[in-house]
Amino acid sequence: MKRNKTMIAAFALPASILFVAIFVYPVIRTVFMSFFSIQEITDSFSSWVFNGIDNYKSLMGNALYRTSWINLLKIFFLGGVITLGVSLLMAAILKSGVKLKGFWQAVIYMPNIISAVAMATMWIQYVFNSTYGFLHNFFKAIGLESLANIQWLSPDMKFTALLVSYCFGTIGHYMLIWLSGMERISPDIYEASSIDGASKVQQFFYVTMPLLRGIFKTNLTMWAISCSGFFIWSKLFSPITADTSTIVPMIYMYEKLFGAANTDSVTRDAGSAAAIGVMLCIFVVVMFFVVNKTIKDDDIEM
Amino acid sequence: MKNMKKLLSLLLALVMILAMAACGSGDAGKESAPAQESKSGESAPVQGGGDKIYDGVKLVYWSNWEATETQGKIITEAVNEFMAETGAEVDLQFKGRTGIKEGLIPALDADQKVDMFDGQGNKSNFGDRIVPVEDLMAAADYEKDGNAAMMELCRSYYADGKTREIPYQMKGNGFLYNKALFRQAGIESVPTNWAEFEAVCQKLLDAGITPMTTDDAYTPQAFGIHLARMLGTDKVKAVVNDGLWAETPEVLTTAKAFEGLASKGYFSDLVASNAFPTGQNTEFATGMIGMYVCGTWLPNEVRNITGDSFEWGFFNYPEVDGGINGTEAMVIGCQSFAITNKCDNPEAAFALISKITRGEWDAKLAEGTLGLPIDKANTEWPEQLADAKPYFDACTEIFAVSGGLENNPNITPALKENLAKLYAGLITADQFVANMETASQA
Repeated sequence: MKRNKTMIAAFALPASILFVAIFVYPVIRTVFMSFFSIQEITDSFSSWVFNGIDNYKSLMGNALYRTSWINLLKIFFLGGVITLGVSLLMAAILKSGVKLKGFWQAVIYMPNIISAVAMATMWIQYVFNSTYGFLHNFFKAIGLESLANIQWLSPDMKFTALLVSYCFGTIGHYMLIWLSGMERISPDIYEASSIDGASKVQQFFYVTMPLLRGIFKTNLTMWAISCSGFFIWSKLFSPITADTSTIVPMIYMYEKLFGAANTDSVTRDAGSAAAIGVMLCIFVVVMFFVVNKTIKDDDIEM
Repeated sequence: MKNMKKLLSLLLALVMILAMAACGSGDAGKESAPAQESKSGESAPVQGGGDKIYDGVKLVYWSNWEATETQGKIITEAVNEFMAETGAEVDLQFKGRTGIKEGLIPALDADQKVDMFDGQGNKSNFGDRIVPVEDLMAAADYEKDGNAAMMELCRSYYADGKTREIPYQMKGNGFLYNKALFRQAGIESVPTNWAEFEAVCQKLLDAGITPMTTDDAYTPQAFGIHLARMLGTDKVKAVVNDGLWAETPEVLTTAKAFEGLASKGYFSDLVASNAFPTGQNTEFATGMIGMYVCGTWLPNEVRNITGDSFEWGFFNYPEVDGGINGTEAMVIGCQSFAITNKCDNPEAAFALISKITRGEWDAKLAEGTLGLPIDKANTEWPEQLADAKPYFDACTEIFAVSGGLENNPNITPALKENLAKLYAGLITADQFVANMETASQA
């Protein structure tokens, strides 16, 4: 078929223009802004003052900002193990032929359709509360006073509380992705392995797991993206001013961009906020490359 | 089958058209007052032509309240009356706190027409996007009915001493307390110094009442005001900005005072785990705790929990041993209005601001929100805050928020964490100072 280049250009142009305007331009502008001292995100270019990598140096020299990255990495690694591990287990159980599969699938996925604000409020007020929260009442009812008296929202426990509640809300999402991968594995392979004498556990580790590498890559990349944008849960666990235990780079960026609460004079720093955005972007890109380099999914044919 | 496809195509096209129409007609406003019918973004027509003073004038007003809040409802009524009286058309848009914080400057920079707005006091970060209002105030002799301390505060935000904001809804911080519990403990007068304060705490404890609690977001308030009593607010700011925790002996003295309160059991057992607003809502407002350091907005914030029977009391932070100021110094502040540089008719905007901040509507705002009026002529303060009036009247020195202790947002998180532990008795005063010194140097 003869290609009509004009037609191709005509069809591609609107989407290309939109892509450049909505994605490419903001990315370039953000990277550019990160090398300038800028107060407001909408300040005119004439008021920008070039300061090289000072925004990056100043951020990395700030203990609170470093703490925010430590928290993010803890969420990524610890939360990743919990979320991806538990969701994989749930998917394997559902795939094993458990009764009422559709019902359990819906129950596990349900937290994902509830707003994060409602979910976090529920956890803070009705699960972790030290007077009437579920954990307090439950452990008290079974006579475990020491566990009932744990103050889940105290400075030493707040991160754990945040992590557990966040993971709870995301497990269903990753479980569905695992499940979709498992559904693609041919029953013939399981049948063959059964004939060879493999138990269910052996099938999981030697058949299911290797054949889910591609899904694992997808889940890990998506987990990195969702961690880099971690904001709402942290904001709800520390609603007015940030906490050392729950602060993440997005919270720090918000405070830089719009000013912190409870201060007499609001100071804003859009240049540093842009630098944080760039660093978060680099985090996702690095994770993407690491995942792609370390996990190969093209050496097994389904 | 073909017909089915056609039908589906038509339906899809219809859905797309409707979706585009819905997106296109979206007003910049989050919520608009029912009376307004205008579209934002149009330039204000010149005044004149009708019988009323502002016939033909159009104002776009962004409010930091929500339409469903009491403030929002009263302001809507005031605006409606203003429109009926003056002939002006006011496009009142309720943006909420974050709407103003996040959206107003970009909107003004994008040449969006916003004539006036309200929000948290100190709008100095708006730069030349807001205009001085000194001439407008002078022409209307506006200041004669206002609170002088608030006007001074609003001027102090600007290097040239010319205010760009007009105060309303005053607020102040101190001890909010439960009068019924005080009476139950046999306490007849509020404490004015630290020894009396400790005696009050002990009496409450002896009566089986936990003296006080706080929430994570408010932990710096008591400590900061205590330290400001000893140092003054400017030196407190120097401590947090320059990391002078160990170098300033008053920090340790203050920490020891709170270590003492914690060791005597004056704080709630839950003080370390009260994530805002748990302490204020489930401990103080429910009548379980005697005192709570907070602002005068608290009675309004928890009125749905306390009901009308709660007996509110207020006293200023007591004087402390070795302090350099007394109850004449306190944390006070306000909400404020400002007029933007996009406003074509500042006189009309100022007239609307005057209407809300003076006389009847100022009184209605105070009454409806259990707030503090800004108009001197409105001498009746809400019963819940009547105790605060003498302190406001006698105030000659204004402390910064938390006495200046929250002046460094990079340190506030570490401060909150260590104060929660100090109040809970989990760390000593010496450990507090050492931890803060480490946090400042890192």
